[in-house]
Amino acid sequence: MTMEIHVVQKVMKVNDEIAQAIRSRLEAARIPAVNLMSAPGSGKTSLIETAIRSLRDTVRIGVIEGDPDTTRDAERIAALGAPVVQINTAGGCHLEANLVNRALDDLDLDALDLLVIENVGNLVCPVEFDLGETRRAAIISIPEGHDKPAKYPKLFRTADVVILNKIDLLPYVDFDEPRFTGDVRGLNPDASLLRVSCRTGEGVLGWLDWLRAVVQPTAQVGR
Amino acid sequence: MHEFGIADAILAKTLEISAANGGASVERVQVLVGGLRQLVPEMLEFAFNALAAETAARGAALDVELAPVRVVCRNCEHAFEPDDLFWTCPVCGTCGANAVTGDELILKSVTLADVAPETASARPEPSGEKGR
Repeated sequence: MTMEIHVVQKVMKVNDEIAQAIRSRLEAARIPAVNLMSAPGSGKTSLIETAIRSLRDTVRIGVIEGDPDTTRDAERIAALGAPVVQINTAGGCHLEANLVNRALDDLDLDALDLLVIENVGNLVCPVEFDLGETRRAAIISIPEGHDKPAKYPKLFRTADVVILNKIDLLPYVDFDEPRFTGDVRGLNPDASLLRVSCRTGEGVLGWLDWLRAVVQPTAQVGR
Repeated sequence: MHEFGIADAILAKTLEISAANGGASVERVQVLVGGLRQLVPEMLEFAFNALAAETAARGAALDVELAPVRVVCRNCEHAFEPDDLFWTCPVCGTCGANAVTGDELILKSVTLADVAPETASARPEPSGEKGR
């Protein structure tokens, strides 16, 4: 006989439950987590390096690096003396909660004030997976073009902060910044919008202030 | 290509249900996918069939039902189905509305073939989840 069994269960149930467990772990340790999402090469690792260098006396940052292959990003972070765990997804296009949960076992949470998770470079898939993060950051760099928020709207709709990186390249690229800003604002009026160049240091203070506000939500920070 | 991760989760639950019913072969799987889920139904079907090849769900049909996106204006609370990128409210013109539905990703039902009556497990209670 044929039998139809009604299930009505969230497909992402397992991932969401692990993400909730991560959230509980981090809350118990009083550590907020920021999930950095962007295309490959937009400067996620450079933003983390800048934050570690600049905040090392005030905010102890631990990092989880997600990449399909190599430990190159983790080596860059470790060179600055910050605790780091590299996740290799072996070709996988995004991080899932179970990978992050296992990586947390290799970090001394009591010795941290902030966890930064660098997702796999990709503007689509990472958005679908809750990692137990406190805040989501979407990063876009000038050479990628001003049309990316409109073409990848979900990332920008769900971001708490949108970082326009490599602004030192503006004079050399046909990047329509007013159009970009209008699109981001239209998609997500609540997100903070930061302009940064890790190369020249322009706007880096805004990035550091935003991170400080994540660690100490009571601190007054401008948008 | 996150379709594979999602297809894998659908398959895991499907095989759990098959195993609870004497390993009966799976004929059909119904999922509800919200319009905000960034999933291509054909890709999801392809991934599901590829992963199911060596299992009791081999050759099963994956029915993907799409759920509409509904949003509520952040200013006047008008509820509507957006037809533009910025979810602009047709009443007051405010953009960036809040999504109410569209993020569903729900396994609705699994149809098993050749279930021997004595191995059929009690029908599981629906958990009542309606998406986040």
